[in-house]
Amino acid sequence: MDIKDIKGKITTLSLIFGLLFTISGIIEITIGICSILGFEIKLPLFAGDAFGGLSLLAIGITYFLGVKKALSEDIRAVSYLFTASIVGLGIGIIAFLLLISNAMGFLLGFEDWEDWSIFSNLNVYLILGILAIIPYKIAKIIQSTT
Amino acid sequence: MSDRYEIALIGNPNVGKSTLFNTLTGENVYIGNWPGVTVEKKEGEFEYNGKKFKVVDLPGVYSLTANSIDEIVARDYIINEKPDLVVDIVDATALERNLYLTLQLMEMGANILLALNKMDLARTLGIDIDVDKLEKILGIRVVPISAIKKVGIEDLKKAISEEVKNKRKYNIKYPHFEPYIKKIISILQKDENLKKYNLRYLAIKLLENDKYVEDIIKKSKIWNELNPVLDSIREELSKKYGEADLGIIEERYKVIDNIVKEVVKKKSGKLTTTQMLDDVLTDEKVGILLLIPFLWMLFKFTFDVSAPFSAMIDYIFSLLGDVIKSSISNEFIASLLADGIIRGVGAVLVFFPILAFLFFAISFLEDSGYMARIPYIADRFMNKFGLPGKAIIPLVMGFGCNVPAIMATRTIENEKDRILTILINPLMSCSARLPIYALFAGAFFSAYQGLVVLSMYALGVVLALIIAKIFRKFIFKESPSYLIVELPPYQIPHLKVVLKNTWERVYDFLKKAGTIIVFGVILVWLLSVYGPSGYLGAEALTNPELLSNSWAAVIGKALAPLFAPMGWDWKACSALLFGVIAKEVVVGSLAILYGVGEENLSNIIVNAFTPVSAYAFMAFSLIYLPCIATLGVIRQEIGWKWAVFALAYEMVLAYIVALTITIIGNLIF
Repeated sequence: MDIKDIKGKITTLSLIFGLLFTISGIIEITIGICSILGFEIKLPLFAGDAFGGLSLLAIGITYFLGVKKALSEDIRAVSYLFTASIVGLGIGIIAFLLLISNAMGFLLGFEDWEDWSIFSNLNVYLILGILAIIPYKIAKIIQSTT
Repeated sequence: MSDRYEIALIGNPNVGKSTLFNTLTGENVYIGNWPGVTVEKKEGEFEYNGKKFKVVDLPGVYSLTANSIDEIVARDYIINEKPDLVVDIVDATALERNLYLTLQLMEMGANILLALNKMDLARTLGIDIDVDKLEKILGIRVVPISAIKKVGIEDLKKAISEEVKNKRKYNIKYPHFEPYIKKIISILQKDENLKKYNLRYLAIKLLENDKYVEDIIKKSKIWNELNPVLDSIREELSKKYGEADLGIIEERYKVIDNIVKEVVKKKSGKLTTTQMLDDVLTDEKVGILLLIPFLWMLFKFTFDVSAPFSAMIDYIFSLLGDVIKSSISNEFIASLLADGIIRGVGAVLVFFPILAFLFFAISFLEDSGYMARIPYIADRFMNKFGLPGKAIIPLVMGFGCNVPAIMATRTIENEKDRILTILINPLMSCSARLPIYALFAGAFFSAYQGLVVLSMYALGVVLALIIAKIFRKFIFKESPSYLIVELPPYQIPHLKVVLKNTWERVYDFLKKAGTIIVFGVILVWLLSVYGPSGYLGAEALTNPELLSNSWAAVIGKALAPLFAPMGWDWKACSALLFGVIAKEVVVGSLAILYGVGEENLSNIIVNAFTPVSAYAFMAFSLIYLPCIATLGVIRQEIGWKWAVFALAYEMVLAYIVALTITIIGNLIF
């Protein structure tokens, strides 16, 4: 497999997912910082977790570095797409486990979960994690053809 | 005479050196032996632009460590004969392996020209090398050639004719070794006779225990001064690396790895999963960046996913306590069982889910192969603070709870590094301290409460890093270990292995730390329900008047004069004492001692504290004694001696910080 054959695909995918993760990360960090400063901002899908936002941003940057590698025709662009997607997928798995765990707390009737609803856990981490399956699968297919 | 030059060809075996030699010299070849050995010596000549070049073909070597006759011959020739130029022939298809020799030549200070051979083959294999960038990074002229196809030979001859006169200075640094190298050079340069050698090379070779160089230096007048310095450096390096020379080898490969990542692009070829992950996860910058999501996942999995299980245990033990209180008529026994023993056992078991989830995640990362890469990624950053790379995990985990965080230090192999990481961990502000911050920040700094709370977290991190530096300098007098690890391939973790590791670690906690926690909780119960007048009754735990006659209050009152400079009364001091059970207990204790519910506590403390004394109280709560569970786990992990030390230094530090805040605060406001 030559990078020239897959350059376009890798660049597009890395760019799209880089944007998705980076923008989500920046919004999440902004909400998190605002909440620390005493300004409550509520946005659907965002939890206001600055640490989590940084994690999304880190994954977004990794995708973008993949774009850079792809543009300079380096086969390692696939590595960046693959690794960023695997970490994104990991974040999605944690978000899913959190949903299950919170649902359990709610069903058992514990005080801390009284106000919980399934929508509070249908957040950006879960959605991006699920979406990351797409670039992960594509990177795996590319790997198997090299 | 000035137009005659001597150049040497050097390179790894099978790099195409003989082909290039023949291409350059044609028929003019003389074959003999190197003096004293039966290694073939080939010499030839060529002319270019009216200049004559004598070409010496050195034996094919992978390094100049002088482990073989070939290496000794090559090294002695370069050091003693000082050729005008050393043409280092590098295989473009195996740049990483070949650059090792190049770095050693640079260390020697030889005048080098790099002939990048097999460029045609590299292109066929999809390897693209940025020659200009390589030239810039190394500071060496690089000429791409294909000796077998005679491509680039004229360029090479032209470059040789230019570079023979052009002595270059190289700028390759070994970050972990520079302080030692500088120290040795500062002594070596006192002997004028040694200045004919490259002093940096001598210093590096001395660190590598090179006998040849050591023999040269032993004859020098600075040997007596250098010897003890060298011994102490070597001892330090041996502790860190096992053997000093292994550390230097690792450092060279790290430099090479960075160069290769910068200049080599692979445009096609096979990709394995381990290769793809390592391309990114072991990259010096991206690797650190991607530690953030890994730490976030670890944090969330440990504290949030496990939360309902902890709540379940908490609920069961509360229920059990209530059942016992209502079914046993003897008030003392009922309180001892419910508020002492059951609460104590509950305090231990409430950590069970957190630790089980933490160790599951850590074992998962270990078995997957990622954990072995963390020192590789984070060492350079964490070493700045005297900490090993793996300390980053317990430090971040400390924001959740110091107990699992301290248990997480088990991944740190070096004992001293581990003790240091454990000692500073309680300074990371765990979530149990948040209710204290929230109460005081809300009551005194309502407009900036977020910032004030954040400042506590920042204070904890800054203090932890400063203390780490200080302890490293005065107690653990060696640099953090820099482990040479062979990176295992990534794999899908085996559930059986992960579960077994998890259970072993959690069981260890329950067995060892559990007993101390139960004992501590019972002790505080006794101090609360007993006073100088005897047994006060179980109501003392909820009645402020009764509690004010307890031993806990007596201790609080005894401590009050000590904390008078900060403006805290005995109730604040007693609340801090109760905080030893768990830091979140401080708020509840303040509410009982001031005789109000937690919801009205802010209104009361506004009169009992000033903003400055409140901020000092928050800082003190952050730093002072670790809670019983943390103390128990410190003792379990590193013994009583260090547990007492942690207790003592944190008390002193907390007092100093709180007093400093009070003094400066009162001066400003």
